[in-house]
Amino acid sequence: MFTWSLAVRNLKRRKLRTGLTASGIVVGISMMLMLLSLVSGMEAQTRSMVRALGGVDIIVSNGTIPAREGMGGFFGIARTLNESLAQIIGQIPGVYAVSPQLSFSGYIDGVRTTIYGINPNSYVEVTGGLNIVSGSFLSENSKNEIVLGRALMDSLNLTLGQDVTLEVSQGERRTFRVIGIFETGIVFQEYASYITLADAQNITGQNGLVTQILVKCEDPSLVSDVSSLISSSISGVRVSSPTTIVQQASQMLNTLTLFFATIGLVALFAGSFGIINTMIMSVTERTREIGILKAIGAKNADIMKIFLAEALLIGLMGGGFGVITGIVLTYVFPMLTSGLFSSGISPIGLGNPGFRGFRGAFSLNITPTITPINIALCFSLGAVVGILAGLYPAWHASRMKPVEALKHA
Amino acid sequence: MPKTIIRAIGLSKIYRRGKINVPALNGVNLEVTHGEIVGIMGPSGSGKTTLLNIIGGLDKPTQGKIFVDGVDITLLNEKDLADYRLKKVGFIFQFYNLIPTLTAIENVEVPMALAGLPKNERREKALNLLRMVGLESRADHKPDELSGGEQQRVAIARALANNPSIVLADEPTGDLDSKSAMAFMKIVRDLNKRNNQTFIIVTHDPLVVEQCTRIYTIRDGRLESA
Repeated sequence: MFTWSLAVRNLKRRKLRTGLTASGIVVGISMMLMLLSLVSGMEAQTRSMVRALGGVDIIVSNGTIPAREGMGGFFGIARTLNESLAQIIGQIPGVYAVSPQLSFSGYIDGVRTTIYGINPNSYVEVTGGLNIVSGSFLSENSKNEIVLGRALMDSLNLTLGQDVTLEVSQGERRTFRVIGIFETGIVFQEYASYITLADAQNITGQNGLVTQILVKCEDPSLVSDVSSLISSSISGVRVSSPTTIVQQASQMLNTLTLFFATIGLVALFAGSFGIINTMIMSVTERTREIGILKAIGAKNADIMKIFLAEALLIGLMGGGFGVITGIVLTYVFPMLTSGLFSSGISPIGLGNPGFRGFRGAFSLNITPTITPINIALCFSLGAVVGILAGLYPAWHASRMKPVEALKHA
Repeated sequence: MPKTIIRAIGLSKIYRRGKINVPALNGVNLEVTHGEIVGIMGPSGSGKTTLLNIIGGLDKPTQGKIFVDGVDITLLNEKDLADYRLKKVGFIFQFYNLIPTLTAIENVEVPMALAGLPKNERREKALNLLRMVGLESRADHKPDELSGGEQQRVAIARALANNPSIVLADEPTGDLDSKSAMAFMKIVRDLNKRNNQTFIIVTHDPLVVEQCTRIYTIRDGRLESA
């Protein structure tokens, strides 16, 4: 049939009108692609955040206001808690396991890093353990053994089994043997290292003290109850729960998603009116042509096809250019909004030193991810809008009476 | 024995204009046999075009029946009527009514495409038809690049695309100079002789009238033998 050549030639005959009509769709489609890319990026980000947090439900740390003494600048240790608190917390109903942790800043072979002192068994029980890609994790009997992140290993050009020097604030130096390497996929987190709690307390001189107590509940639904129990029964502690933070963060992202989806849909909706308008004009202009086609034997369905093809082409053009514009915007957008994301999330309790390792994940800008599926989705959305917007005008055209249509000038 | 191809019995068509009923046809009886060239004359507004439209399945009579090859086309539904127009009749209009965005050969191909003919087959057939009307060399020109006479010849080629047994022409020479009008009528005669196609031509043009095998005059919605 001549469906396509008729459609193409009629669109070409009115280039400006066709272009303007398609632009209406371009706006909507590019918004949609940007949104979908953003959502894909957020999903990836949230997934890695959740992964990074492991199974920790609650983090208990010292909640008193730190005095200005002895924080030691870069070689800081946050306010500490008594290690014995772990046992008390462990007795609280709903708590499944606890793991004390002493985290501090130090230098490994001259590179600054966060060091976590942990009890290997309870740590694995609470967090599910690290993703060890080479070597092994610490054991209860480990002494002067260290597990490093992949990024730190790479920047130090180290291999498994080598010795490293750990230096802390007091100028204490100690030699550790690298027994394992872990990966998280987030570079910042891979700049951390793990030693046993005993080693950590020893090297920092904080015997019997910890900076955080990690808590895992029997069930995720118990987290808020257990949190309030801990803060009401133990004075001077600060309780925070990473899962709540992730929830809050993803809730915020959802709001943002909804916001963009609404704008995109409104734009598409407006654009579809443009197509309807253009198609009605096109049908009116070509009333006589419709009459001719019917006189020489075209059926209603044939007429319908011709105008639907035209509307579909406008939709496809809008979809195509919309995808291109969307890709461009997706790359430009993060630059414009870098402030929004980092400052938008950080107020949620990130001052807590327990999150030091996670801060990288939180303060990273959302990196939009353009996936082939999103592109295909947006492109076909253009086609669908075109077809839907073309339905009424095409139906109107197909229903014209040939004799009356032929009388049209 | 010549066979009857069209038999119209008591055709009436009444248009409503506001509150007034305007009769366009008033009990028209007509019988056309295969291979005739029928001319219909009459003042404007006398109902000539209405009659042609009814025969061509573009319009329905208010009253009466019209049999084409024994089938009452007033009983056909919209889809079958479209099929009837596609395969049984060819239309030629005063103002050619070619599709402006399509070339001459594409215009001739449209009815074949509508009938589902494959592309290369209809190309060849369309080219043959254009050769027959002497426009082979103008095949790739758009209507606005052709003269009136040329456009009307393209319209003939298009009307013949699906080998209709009836060709209906509404003032086909009305907008042509006498040379083009004569050329047009020569083609009609040739086709009529060669394919035994039936022509019904609404006209004022004496050039056309003298080529017809039978002439009717329509007056106040009634058909009279001239």
